[in-house]
Amino acid sequence: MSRSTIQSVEQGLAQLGAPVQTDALPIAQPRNESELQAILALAAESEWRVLPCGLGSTWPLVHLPEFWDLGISTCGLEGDIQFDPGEGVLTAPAGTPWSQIQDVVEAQSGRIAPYQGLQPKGSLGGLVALGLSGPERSFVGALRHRVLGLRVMLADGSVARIGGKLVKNVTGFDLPRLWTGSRGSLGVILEASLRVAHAPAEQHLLRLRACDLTQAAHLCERFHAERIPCASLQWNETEEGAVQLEVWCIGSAGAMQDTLRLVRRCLDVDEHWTEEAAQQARAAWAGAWRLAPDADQLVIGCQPSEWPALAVALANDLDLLGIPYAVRALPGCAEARVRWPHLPDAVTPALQALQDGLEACHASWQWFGTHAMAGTFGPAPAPGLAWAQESLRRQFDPQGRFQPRPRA
Amino acid sequence: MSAPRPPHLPTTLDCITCGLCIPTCPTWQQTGRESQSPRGRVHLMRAHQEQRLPLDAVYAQEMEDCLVCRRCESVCPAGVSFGALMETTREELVQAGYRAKPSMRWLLAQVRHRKRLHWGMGLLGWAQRSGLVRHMGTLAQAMPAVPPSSEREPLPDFAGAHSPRVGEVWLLEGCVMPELYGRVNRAAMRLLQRVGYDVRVPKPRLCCGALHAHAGEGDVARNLVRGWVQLLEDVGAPDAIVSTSAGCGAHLAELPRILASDPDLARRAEALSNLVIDASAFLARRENLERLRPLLNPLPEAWLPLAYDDPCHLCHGQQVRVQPRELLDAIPGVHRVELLEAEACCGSAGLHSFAHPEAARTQLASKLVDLEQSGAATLVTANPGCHMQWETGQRTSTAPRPVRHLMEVLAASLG
Amino acid sequence: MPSPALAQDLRALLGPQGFLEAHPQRLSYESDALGLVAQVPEWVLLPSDTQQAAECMRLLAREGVCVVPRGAGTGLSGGATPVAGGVSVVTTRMRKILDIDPVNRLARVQAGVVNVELSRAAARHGLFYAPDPSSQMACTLGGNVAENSGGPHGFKYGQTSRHVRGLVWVDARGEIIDQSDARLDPVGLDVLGLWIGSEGMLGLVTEVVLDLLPSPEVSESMLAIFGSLQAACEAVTELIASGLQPSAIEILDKLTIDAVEASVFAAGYPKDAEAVMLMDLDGSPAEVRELGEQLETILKAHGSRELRRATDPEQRRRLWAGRKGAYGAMGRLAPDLYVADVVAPRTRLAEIVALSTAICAELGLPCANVFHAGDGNLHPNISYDRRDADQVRRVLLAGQRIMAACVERGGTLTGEHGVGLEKRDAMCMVFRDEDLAVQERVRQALDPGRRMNPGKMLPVRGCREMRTRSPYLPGMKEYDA
Repeated sequence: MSRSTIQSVEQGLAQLGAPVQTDALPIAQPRNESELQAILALAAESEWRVLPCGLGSTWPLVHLPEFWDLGISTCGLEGDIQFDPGEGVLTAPAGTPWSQIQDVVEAQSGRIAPYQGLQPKGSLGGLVALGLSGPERSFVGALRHRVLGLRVMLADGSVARIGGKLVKNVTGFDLPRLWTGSRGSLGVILEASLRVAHAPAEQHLLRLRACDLTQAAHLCERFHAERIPCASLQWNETEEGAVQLEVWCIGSAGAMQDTLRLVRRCLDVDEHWTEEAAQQARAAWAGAWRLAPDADQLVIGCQPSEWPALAVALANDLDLLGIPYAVRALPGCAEARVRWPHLPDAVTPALQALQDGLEACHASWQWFGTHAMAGTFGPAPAPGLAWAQESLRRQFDPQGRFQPRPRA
Repeated sequence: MSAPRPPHLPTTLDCITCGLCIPTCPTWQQTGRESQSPRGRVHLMRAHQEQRLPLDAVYAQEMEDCLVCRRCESVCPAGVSFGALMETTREELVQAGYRAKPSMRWLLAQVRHRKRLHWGMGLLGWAQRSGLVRHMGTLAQAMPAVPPSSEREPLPDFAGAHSPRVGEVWLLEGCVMPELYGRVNRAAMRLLQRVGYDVRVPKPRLCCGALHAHAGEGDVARNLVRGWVQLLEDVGAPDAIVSTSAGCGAHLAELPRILASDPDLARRAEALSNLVIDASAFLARRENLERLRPLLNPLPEAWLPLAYDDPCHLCHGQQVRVQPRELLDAIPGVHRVELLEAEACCGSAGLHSFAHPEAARTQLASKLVDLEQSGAATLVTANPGCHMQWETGQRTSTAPRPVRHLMEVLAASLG
Repeated sequence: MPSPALAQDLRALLGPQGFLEAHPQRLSYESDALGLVAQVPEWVLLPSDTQQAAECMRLLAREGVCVVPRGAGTGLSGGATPVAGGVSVVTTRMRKILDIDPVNRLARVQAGVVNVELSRAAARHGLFYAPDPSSQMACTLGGNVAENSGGPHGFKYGQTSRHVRGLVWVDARGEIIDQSDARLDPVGLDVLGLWIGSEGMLGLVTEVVLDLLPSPEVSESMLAIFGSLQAACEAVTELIASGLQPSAIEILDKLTIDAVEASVFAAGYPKDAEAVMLMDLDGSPAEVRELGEQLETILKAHGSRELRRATDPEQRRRLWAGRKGAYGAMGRLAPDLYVADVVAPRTRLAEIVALSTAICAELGLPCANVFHAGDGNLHPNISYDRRDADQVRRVLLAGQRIMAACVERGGTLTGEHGVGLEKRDAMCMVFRDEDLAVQERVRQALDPGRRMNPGKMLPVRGCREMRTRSPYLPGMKEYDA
């Protein structure tokens, strides 16, 4: 990637008059869809590689200029947030900050699952593109089951509506699911409609102090086996390096009465918060990462019954590497996030070391970090599946406009 | 609705192809083929009726393979009378020259003559005892053991009620029943007497014609019915006509439908149909059960637990499901377990087990597994065909269990 | 026309039980549960496992033969209607439950396993399979995957797509695509998600990995009896807005009640009611008790004159059998039944139910309503006799008008039956040519030869062209409430 190309990207964009920010990459912020079309046309003409993005909350994690010529952010696109609580459906422009969506939904006693009270950063479109389900997954289902419809722009500038705005709908192929988690590889998401749940009557946060990861994994297994319907179990390390397990329960008053009784049968709770206090405790939890915010991150999904094995794999493999790391686990939702500082040279062996352990647990994982391992790290899809994925990608983006530049 | 329905097979139109019947069909379970399912068969019948499908050997075979267990009727929300459709279809096929195998036709001819059947069975019994049967045809080899002639005596014409007498019933003797399971009829007779009924077995001893109707020999079946109607009109109606065979009972209870082409006879047969009742349903009537209950004693421990398997033509043909269970449960100290798929056909299906021994065996195999898993020590049935089929299964079983007719069990409990 | 050599190879592969060429046998596959359209397939193939299915597809690819996948043939949209010159590949000989993993609550089944059989097998482990289409006694899980089937309990538990964890499918070339490793999240593009509801246009599913759920601790059924259908719909709208979550909310109207009560599935619904609402309440004891009280308050406020509650399994089974047999029971009214499957915004239920009844009345057709009220998924059922050409014309017209009216009010064509052949051209009511072009890309990617279930779901002509000819597509505003 030569410096001169980047210059010309900026010049080209300047000619179009679209606002441009420059971070590691020039990031265009079109104000409307025709501006976006013009930018894509220019990108096609100049054969740029384009990275669609929202508010850029994951940029620091990406080694950008090596792979992309231009970022296009959707947060400049205008539009209103429409939320009909009676219908349980929210529609908003892709660039809408997630925090704003949460405010709107909560004000009308709705609950929108991913990262409730956890991740004020990030945009609606970004979240959909990454397919992140959030800590209440086991309670409300994965995000890809809640995306009802999208408006999208393809590389050729054509705009299409896929899916709809109804909670039940099988009219045509389920394209919203293909796009959810597609990480920008198919095109630019302009607008998304999500299913919104009703806010539960009660929420409870129960905390067990001094509980290590292995212990937490066993508790998770027990909760699973005994069918305790808590929304999530969360294990984390605090700022001070203490370890704790939190059990998050949400639901109707009647459900909570029974659930809390079951939870108490499994563990001696140190702290019990309800309602607002719980919400605040949770927000505090959100910030509690021991490492820098721009650390690389690995998100792992795995079956509850495999949790003890995963806990062992994480402890063993990462400790051997001698790099600092932090784990935030949501074993109750079968998700774990592992972070370590941005150390390009250490990452490859770390991931390689982990891979076997993860495979043994039948885990799936997503890598949010340097692209040093992009495309090479992860369970290799079976040949048939790889063919299907590649054919689909080519159909939507035949020129490879939204694909990272292959490494030399 | 607006277009007039063709004179025959009117009820193919009742099917709206929802398909709920399909998985219950024994031939579909074995083949997975649409034309071996009730919906598929009705579809073909309708196509034929609409003159889109000529009769041919394949069509005839698809129809012939059906067991006419009528389980599909029990799950059909639209109320398609599948059994009736199949009988009409088979009659049409027979008339078009698609007839059953000669051996089956021969068997049908024997069945309707009590005397011929009696001699034939005597001969077969002799062949079985002498070992000669091994050199006979597959049909003869497939037959169950014929009991000694003392057990094959016809029922007496009349047996008086124990006091207090409450009425008179006829007992339907059946065809195969007196030859192979005479003890069942005698048991039923005893039970009826004890409960207070005079039991009459009117002469001539007529066959009901069910097997003939199922096989498409409609004329034979109708002739037999004429005889029955005449008999009833000559002798005078009893309080009930009691059957120990589910197949005969189901057939006779539906005469008006079977005789639709002869409205006059159909009207006369209605009186007959209204009187016909299965022995279990009759004994389970409240007033009868109240008189029976105090007479019952505990069964031998080794018989327990019992499992009752619903004969198709009792549960699907006559909607008799609860009564046999009520009767068994009335026995003091009884322990009864349920079979997993009690309403699935055992594969006997009239002459089916003789015509299609392989398919019948496959059909029985899953029933045997269910019996095994139920832990029952005695299998209770209420139809001679099922009785034979279950006994065949026990012959090859590693842990054979006795098979008993409901009437035998109840009579044994009388002490 | 496929060649005799191909027939010979397929016969050798599948044997006489798996390769049907006799006319009566093929004729029985000419329609699925949508009897209006029929086409006798060239051959019918019944493979018995994935390998055999793949081998079939490879042989068919050799001569470019079109393939229509089929399960039990209970689909209501003509999705399994054969194509002229093509073959039907049927999964009903693939009926093995391959594995049940009670620890991770997963089941692996062959595509031809009947929905209710899985629930039965799972019940032994205290688990259940949630999607329960009304045809669950007969429909196959492979078919459920192809149509993304719903059912009453989809209100709480979601449709099929929420419960599928893995698939093995065979594409048009005969390649096996194995996605059965049941990972929690897809690695790369979510092909699995796209596949579910693809109506047999991307390939043939041969094995499915499904999520099983723990059976609820307590289940209760509640039957609310209403003097008006309108009031019942309004009650649903309010209870959804209040965030109450029974696991199912079904409404049956008077005509349906009459048909059901005359059938073997008579459930004891009162014959003098204008509508009944059937609900299931699942959860922990206190949860169900509380929910029952909350529901009662809302239902009474909306004029429910009587509430029956049932916890006994046999009573509950009977109440539900009536609902599940409702479609078939309509066979008592007339030989054929047209079942619409429109989805209304849940806030406009009463309006759209009334509208569809009015549309049918105007055309002189009887309209019975039985529907998944909680999801806004309506099933106006129109009884007719397909031998009467004018009735057929009016029924199709009514179907189009109901769809158009629903789409105009923010609804859509289908919630669980699929587009198939029947609603194919109505796709233009919902999508523009540009939107459909994106859907076309999917087919182009995975079946460029267009041999899988051709002519279904995606309009064969452009919407702009069709709008100029059809009076029913939006833009014409022929129908106005």
